[in-house]
Amino acid sequence: MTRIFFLVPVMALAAGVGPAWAQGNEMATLRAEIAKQEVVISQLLRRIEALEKQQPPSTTAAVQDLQGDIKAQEDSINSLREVVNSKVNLNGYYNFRFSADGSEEPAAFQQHHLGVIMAKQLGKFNFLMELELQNVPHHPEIAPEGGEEGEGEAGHEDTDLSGEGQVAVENAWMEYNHNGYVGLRVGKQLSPQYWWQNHYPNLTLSTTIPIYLRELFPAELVGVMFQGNAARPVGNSELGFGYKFYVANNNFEGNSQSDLSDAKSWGARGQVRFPASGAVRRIDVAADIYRGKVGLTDNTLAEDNVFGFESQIEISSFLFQTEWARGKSLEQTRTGFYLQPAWRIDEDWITFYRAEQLESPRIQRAERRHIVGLNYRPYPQIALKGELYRSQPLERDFLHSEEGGAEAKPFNGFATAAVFFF
Amino acid sequence: MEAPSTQSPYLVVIVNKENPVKTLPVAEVRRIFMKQSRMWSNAEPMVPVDWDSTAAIRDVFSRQVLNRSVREMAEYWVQQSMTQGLSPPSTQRSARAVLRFVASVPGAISYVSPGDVDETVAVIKITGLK
Repeated sequence: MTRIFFLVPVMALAAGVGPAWAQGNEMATLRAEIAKQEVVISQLLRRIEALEKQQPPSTTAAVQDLQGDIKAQEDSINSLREVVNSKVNLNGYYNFRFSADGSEEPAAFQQHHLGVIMAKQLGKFNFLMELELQNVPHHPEIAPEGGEEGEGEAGHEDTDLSGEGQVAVENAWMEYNHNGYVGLRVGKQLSPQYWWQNHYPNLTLSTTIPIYLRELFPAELVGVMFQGNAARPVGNSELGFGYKFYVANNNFEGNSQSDLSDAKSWGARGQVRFPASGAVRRIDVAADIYRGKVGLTDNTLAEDNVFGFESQIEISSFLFQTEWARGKSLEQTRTGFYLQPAWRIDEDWITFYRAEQLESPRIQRAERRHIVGLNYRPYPQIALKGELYRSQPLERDFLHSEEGGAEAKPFNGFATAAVFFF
Repeated sequence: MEAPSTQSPYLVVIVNKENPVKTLPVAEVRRIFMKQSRMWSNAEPMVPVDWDSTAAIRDVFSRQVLNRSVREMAEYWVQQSMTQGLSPPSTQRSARAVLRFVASVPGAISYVSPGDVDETVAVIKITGLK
């Protein structure tokens, strides 16, 4: 069974790659084209030199035109070179946060995230790698009886022994896109749900992820994912369908290189993009399912089944996002959701409200949270965020354990963050 | 009901003369400039070429074809850089430079004012344009 999972991507890759001699011919043609373009550039440079020697003001415009020509010519060479050799895109992000609230956690400055992303495209192949330093562990382990954890933002501080954060490979994948309908991505990758795909601090409006997020779908997967989409024009818009199907290692710490079971986890996602025109700019809905196993603290696995729905709707300067998910493992059901309307006041300012909730017997947490926030984005690459939040514990039967415990109390908080994308 | 027009009075979409495509739906042009479509039917990679962000024609194209402001597109490219590793299309500052680029690169696609078109490039019809 295990071998089949390795054979499928290998066969798919082999089927999609053209013969080597054909690629060699193409490369030779492109190299010849680049050489031809370089001759044109040197001719243009000589013409500029000649015009500059003449100096009369009437030649200034001609010189500017020629300089534009040279840039266009150089760009076209670079474009051809990208086809032959490609280039590495280097990006990253930086996020510094401060929060203070009425919980037991002390107010703190947090060097919250620092990430570096390297990517390269070569024909139909893509590669992307992301290194991230963050102050929460990536793979929280779940206590089998569900009593140990549940405090703090992500509900798993017990596993972060150092308190100094860690460097993690969050993404390292290679992708082959045969065409728009079929593609294959292998490696370590984020789960396909909207928030996980867009959880980066300069893409989100709030300073934290929704409280339910780490408790439902796994954040990342190590495996293979088939994906594709199709669209049909409708007026000046389109009706689009997208799918993802993946097979991956089970969800436990250290699953990048090994698994605790031959049976793999799997998941699927279907997405519909409805036609949008006029003030309605986007209507996306999607459904997700995950079937797999989650690691317990005693190094065993427990079945974990999750499904969820989401939507992103954009009308004029309003954006409405929501996700809901339900999971079941160890005979316990956990649910969570968020609803987030946002309003773009002008190009630089966005305000939002988020209502979110988590009910999870396995980490003994039932909480509703309200967040109101404001983003100032003087450039697309910079975000300055401020938000007020209120946490309300929910009364649930599963919280009344035999041992008893400190009763959770509501509290208010404040958080601010500065984010830079580079 | 009024039929959607095929051309904007403010701009025309141009491709390299070797490109066999004569007509594209506006949604497909949008996908090309957002790098969601990659290959032409003749297997050439699509190379969208944009105008400098301060150019008036860029603003018109962005709103009319991409259905986003120039600023919103800049935010889109931040998102794409982080999640897909994609970079935005290269940019040019003049019609002359755009024409030269499109004439030089087989898979190139861009746009210019109708009066700037010359014989070095081919104009394609856009369907569904408002």
